[in-house]
Amino acid sequence: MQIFAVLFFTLGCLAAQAKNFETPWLSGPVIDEVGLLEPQHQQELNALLLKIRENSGPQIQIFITKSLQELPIEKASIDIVDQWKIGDAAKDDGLLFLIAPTERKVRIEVGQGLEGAIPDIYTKRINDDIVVPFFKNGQMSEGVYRGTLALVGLLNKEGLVHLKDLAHPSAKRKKAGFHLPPWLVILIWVLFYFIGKMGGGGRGGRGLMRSIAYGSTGGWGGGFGGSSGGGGWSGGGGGFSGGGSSGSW
Amino acid sequence: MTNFKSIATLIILSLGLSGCGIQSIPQAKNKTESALAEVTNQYKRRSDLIPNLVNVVKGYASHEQQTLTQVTEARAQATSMTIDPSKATPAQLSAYAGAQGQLSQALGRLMMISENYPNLKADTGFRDLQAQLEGTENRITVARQRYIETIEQFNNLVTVPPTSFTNSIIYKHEKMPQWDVSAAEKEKVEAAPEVKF
Repeated sequence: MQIFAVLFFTLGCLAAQAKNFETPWLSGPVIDEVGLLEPQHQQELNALLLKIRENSGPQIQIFITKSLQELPIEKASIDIVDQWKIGDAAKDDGLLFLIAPTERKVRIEVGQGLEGAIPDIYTKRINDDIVVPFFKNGQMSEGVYRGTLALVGLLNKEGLVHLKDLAHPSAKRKKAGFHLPPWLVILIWVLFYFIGKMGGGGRGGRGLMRSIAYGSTGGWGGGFGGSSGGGGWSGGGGGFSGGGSSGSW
Repeated sequence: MTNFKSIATLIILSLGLSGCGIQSIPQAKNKTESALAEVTNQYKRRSDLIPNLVNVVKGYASHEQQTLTQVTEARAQATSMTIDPSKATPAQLSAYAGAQGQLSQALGRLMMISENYPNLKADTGFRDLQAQLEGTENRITVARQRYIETIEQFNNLVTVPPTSFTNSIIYKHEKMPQWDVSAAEKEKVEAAPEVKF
């Protein structure tokens, strides 16, 4: 009987502290709780992010949550990264792309080590000029896809991701047996170019960007299969201090 | 035999000591200091953004002179106060928090009136500054929350047995006052959490 009392008491104590976001198990680079991503996007993003990580690039995590558990997205997001500890402990190079379709909120949370490469201004532009317009248009999967590619583009420009090496693996990296199709590299470049160009959210710029984005949708075929899941995907102890920005639609 | 005994005592003693606060109390104290340093660092970052922000707003909304002056004055007030994280007294801390709270309010008003100026809102420079300011405010929130947590940990070590015995014998640290969040910001912080069983 006493044991139950003690157990009950400790449970009660635990519950009183639990006001943090309850995160699911970190199963892979793309966690989609609501089935929002199209299978093709899911596969491609999964493969791309795994590949980047395998080449000791930043750890980019996409998390589409079914609920923010009544927390503001900034709080939920910092709780998630504090628990998952994505990114390398020494480099603090974690990046969380958090999408909450129920609450219609989105946030890009940038690890301490990446704050120089991805300043808040850029996360804001990616949210406002790429992700949110797609979301508003009901193209959820496309928005997540393009937003992620834009982030990868920024990292590539800063030399933290080497798209060329990913596309044409050198001899020593061949073992992974994955090729990044050249068109993806080009697309990432195009997206990145427009983030730099857009800036002020002028109507013209945005329209042009979107038309190009739409135009290129037609030409994709093939893509890459396999290479899913596989080797352990887990946090490395990366630190976050609240960098990044949020958006809503 | 005596050799063995003394080694055994040493091992037991060191095991016991590591569990009773000899190390953890100073470590916790150091943590609160670095957490406070991070808070002041982020506040500094915010005040560095303000001159540019005021200039951009001035360009579009020059007749909002009063609000602009309030922000500039609140910034001057806040930056004149610096604290040394390892030596700050509770009084200094609350004065510092108060000045930063004033600045937060003045900034809040400035961002509110900016809503009335479509041209200002469309300005690239303003958009960028707004993104930076939002990011910095969020970093401040995170840094403050972590500071509050480190204080809590330190206070637990100092007041909860068995580590509190070590403290009263060796360190004699006082319990630290919690970071006082000014009334205006309180609701923002407390808005969210709900206790679930």
